Amino acid sequence: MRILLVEDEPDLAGTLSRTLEEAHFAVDVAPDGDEGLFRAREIDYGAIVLDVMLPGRDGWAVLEALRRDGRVTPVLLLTARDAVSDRVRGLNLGADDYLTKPFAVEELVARLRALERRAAGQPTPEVTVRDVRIDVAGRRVFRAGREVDLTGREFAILALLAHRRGRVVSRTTIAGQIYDDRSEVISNAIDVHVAALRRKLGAGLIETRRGLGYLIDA
Amino acid sequence: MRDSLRARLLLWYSAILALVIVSFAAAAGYLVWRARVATLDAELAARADALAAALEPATAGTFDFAPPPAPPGTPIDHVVWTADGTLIDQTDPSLAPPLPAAPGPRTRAGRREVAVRTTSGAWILTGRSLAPVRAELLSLAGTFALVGGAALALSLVGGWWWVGRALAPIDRISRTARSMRDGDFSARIPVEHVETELGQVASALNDAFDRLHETLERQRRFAADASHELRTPLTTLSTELQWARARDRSPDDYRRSLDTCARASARMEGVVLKLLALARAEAGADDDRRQPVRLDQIVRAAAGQVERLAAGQQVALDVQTEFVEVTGDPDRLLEAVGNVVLNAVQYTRSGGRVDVAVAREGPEAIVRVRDTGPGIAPADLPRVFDPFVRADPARSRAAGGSGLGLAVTRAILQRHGGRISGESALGRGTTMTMRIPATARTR
Repeated sequence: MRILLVEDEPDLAGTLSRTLEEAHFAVDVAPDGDEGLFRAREIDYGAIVLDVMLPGRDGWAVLEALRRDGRVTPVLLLTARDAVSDRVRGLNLGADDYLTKPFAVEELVARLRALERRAAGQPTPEVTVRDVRIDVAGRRVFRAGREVDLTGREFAILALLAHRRGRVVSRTTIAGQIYDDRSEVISNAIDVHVAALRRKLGAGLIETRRGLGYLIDA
Repeated sequence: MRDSLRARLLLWYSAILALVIVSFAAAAGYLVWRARVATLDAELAARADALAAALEPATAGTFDFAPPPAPPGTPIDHVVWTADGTLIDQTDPSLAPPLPAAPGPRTRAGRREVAVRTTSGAWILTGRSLAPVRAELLSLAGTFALVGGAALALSLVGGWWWVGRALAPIDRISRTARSMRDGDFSARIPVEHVETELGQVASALNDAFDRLHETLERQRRFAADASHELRTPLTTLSTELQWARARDRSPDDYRRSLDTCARASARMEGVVLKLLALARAEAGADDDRRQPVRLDQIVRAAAGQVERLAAGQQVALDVQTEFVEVTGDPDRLLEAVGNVVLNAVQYTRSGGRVDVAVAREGPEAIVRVRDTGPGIAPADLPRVFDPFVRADPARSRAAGGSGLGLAVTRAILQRHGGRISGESALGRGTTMTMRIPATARTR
């Protein structure tokens, strides 16, 4: 899943994005509210991690502007205050979740995954397609009860297709969700990942719709 | 509480009113009684005189007493005795009065009587029942009771309403105070009639509430800001440590991690130290360390602390001093001046300049710090002395600023009876002026 991290403190932004990347998220960083809003409007992120206290346009304003645009991208607020009024304000403005600094990174990761599942209308952390069982929270995949070893990108593509079962997902969407804007994307990289997935999980799982994209049948 | 006040006011007020009504009724009754009795006495005396006149010739010769007829409509009884006490005439035997001891009026058995002794020594007693006068007084008392009772009742009802109305602001005041207690600090007492005493109390209380609210808000903002300033580096620290420990990293990664952690902890340290300084300056526990201080030397020392930084940033630093002495704590004063000079150097781009001057102007020592930095917007200028307000957050943070320097300076100067003010033009620079009362010494 590709996420946008809006955080003005460069050290915190750096350490968070490194941590989230190791948790297999694609992370873009915006150092202030204006750029955050610009990016959130341009790119269809899986989730936005939004610091409330930002120079210029603050987190509240970014959130308000996004929701006014009709964007439903899940937003997780990072606040440094634990006042109830702040949290209520955030949720009322359309935030989906919040964390109070300081927080444990595992919690941030777990909440982002929960947002991802909820956005896909998939509240359980497990998806089963035929003989393949995907444990989204644990990031493990089993085929006929035996664990299959996948790379981060492969897992991301599999999870994305599983979340959108029965719907065709275009290569552009896949690329948009699994790469951040610093990645150099080789043109047929996604095809290579899909081929690897088919090899590991069986050829019939992922179907190709020529000119449209890929699909896991419901 | 309020109802008891209302009841007590009303009780006193009604008791006084009742007393007034009763005394008035008693006085009126007494006067009427006295007037009626006096009239009666005159009538009885006149009748007795008439009887005496009728009796006189009889005593001389024959004993033929023919009493003159009584005036009509006035049932006056009479009794006549001879000088030796023989009863010779009485109108109503059932009365049977004793022989009077002395002449004059008296009241006996519900009757008014007047005794007269004639020149020949005969006794004449005229008398009349007091019942009509009593009845008149009773009816008067009845009227007083009725009218007075009605007046009292009216004043009770009216007083209850009026006192309630007059005390209603107390209700509003206590209601407002209760909602303040329950945490609604924006509650205010509705004030309609400021000219009444309670209206003045209410507006005075409202003013106090305003001040309290403002102070609380400032405290709350301060706490929130302070927690933000500490929580962000704390989060950086914990996230970075967790990242570094998640798996084996390259030496470069470890080095970078440690750098990040060092920066985060330095920031927390800076904030904590400045918070302590602020608390110390505001508590003002350093009165016993007051001594004559050469402010010019303090300014030189403050400038000396930033000399290398200024040189590194290629900012020209110029210091002009003359002898000025103030009374204070030299360490605190150095901190106060140092914060301002450091700010000036940090915000000035390379090629710019910072001028620091200390001089005596009348009774005050003045320190001016002028920079050619980016300046502060007029709207932000009054706020830069508040804690955690930064004119340029990104730059300040990059320079390691805690956002507390000017707040600490202001607090220290206030402890020394001084103050700080700023002038600024965007794009041209800022001048901060500190004023502290100087001692009389000039050399």
